[in-house]
Amino acid sequence: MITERPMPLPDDATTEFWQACQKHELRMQRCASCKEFRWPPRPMCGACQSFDSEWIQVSGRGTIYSYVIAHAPMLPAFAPRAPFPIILVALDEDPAMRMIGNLIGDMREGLQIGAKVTVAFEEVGEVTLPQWKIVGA
Amino acid sequence: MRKSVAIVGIGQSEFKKNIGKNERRIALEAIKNALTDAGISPHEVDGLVRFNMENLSEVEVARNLGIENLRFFGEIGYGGGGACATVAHAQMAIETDRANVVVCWRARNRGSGVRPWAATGNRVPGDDQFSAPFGCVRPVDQIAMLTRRYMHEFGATWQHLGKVAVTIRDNATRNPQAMMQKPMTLADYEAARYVSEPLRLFDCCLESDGALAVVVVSAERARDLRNKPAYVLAASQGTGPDHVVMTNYYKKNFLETPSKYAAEELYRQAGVTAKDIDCAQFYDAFTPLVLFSLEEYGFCKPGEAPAFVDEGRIGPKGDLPVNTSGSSLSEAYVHGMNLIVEGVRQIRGTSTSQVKDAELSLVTSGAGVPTSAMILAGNPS
Repeated sequence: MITERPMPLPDDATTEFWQACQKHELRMQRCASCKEFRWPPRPMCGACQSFDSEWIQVSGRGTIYSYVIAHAPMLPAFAPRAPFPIILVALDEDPAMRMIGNLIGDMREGLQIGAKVTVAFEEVGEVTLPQWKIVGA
Repeated sequence: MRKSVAIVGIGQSEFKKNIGKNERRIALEAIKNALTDAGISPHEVDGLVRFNMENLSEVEVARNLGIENLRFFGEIGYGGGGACATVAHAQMAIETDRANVVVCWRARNRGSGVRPWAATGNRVPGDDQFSAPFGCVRPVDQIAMLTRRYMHEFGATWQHLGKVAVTIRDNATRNPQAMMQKPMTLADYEAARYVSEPLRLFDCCLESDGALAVVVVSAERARDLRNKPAYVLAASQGTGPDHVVMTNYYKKNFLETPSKYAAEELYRQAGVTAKDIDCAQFYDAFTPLVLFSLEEYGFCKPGEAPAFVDEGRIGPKGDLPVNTSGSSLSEAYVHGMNLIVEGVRQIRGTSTSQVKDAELSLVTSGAGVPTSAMILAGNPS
């Protein structure tokens, strides 16, 4: 088993997402032709088949749509944190655009479906991950 | 076409945590047993359908069976979503005269082998790059995410999940082949540790070594063989929109799974409704999948599965006995191939939790991944 935390392998559709995270910006891919969001990022728009896209900075605000508390056994990199929450955030801009993440510091205060969250970037080595903080916690 | 083909042979290995033989060996045992059960010579096999996750190749099976020539071979993706699809593809091959005798199999030493998530790499490509860095790599976490939302929307509780696990364990205690023979109460279920809240240990399927195979031939041929044929009334596949494998979270209707689409296609082909089904083998890698399937295969409306379970309707004396062998939760987890074999037993009348006069037997494959399903029938006409 790998000992380090698994990190993304960006591709031609996702590189801009991860580059924006490094600048602490949450940018989502949107079709340049019909303006439908594409999440997760992909080459072609399923609505109009355009290959053109633009990267829109979103507010970074959302709502916890669901969550789990992960217990052992798990990858060694996560084991010291167990049990820890994994959350699913519905973004304010499009509630069907949901992102998997964690709560900074694995704070569980206020953790419930419907809780408001804001994005908070976490540096892990050379990668910046979009994570979340519960508003008011 | 309805009832154009039938499953006429079923075979399996033992099911164990560590079977002490490799996957190739147990696959060949299961296939040989299925052909013996059918009363068909291995030399007659001219088609094979495998899972693409299977380690054993078609040519290796063919060499070992002494098959002169494979006229038809193919493979199905998406792990446990593919079990019924192997039979669906065999059906199409036979209907189009591309094969006469097709064997479908799955062998998996998942009990003694590695957990797939434990093989996660340092750099994760594709859709999983948006889940793995956050620790969402285990199927249990991925399904628990759906479960929490389902419980929130419909008021389902741990007791509903527990009753699914207890009912299926009860079935396993009557099946000597099942790995789990010890009876389980709701209190036993609750006392077990969490793996990914809201899911506990007994919400999760077993980790098993085992292999199963089925033999598919035309309905015409089936009538001359020794076992009562399990006719394929309908067989379907489905994905639904905007599908992402396992983390299927990004579509508009969050709780909808590919099963809804496989079900619509299945009933369209079959010309029957859920009311006509006598028993069901629902894919149960995790207990909540049984709740989702009860709804998506039309046995109740969205959100009504908890009440359906509370009323005892999925038990052996209920109006829809489910997972009568103990299935993935308590018999063995072999990517749902054991569900097909049990669906056939119900048609033959040889299940250890036999449903009286079972005529229509539903079998489903993995929910949360591109899936498949079929309805087996006992009456040839």
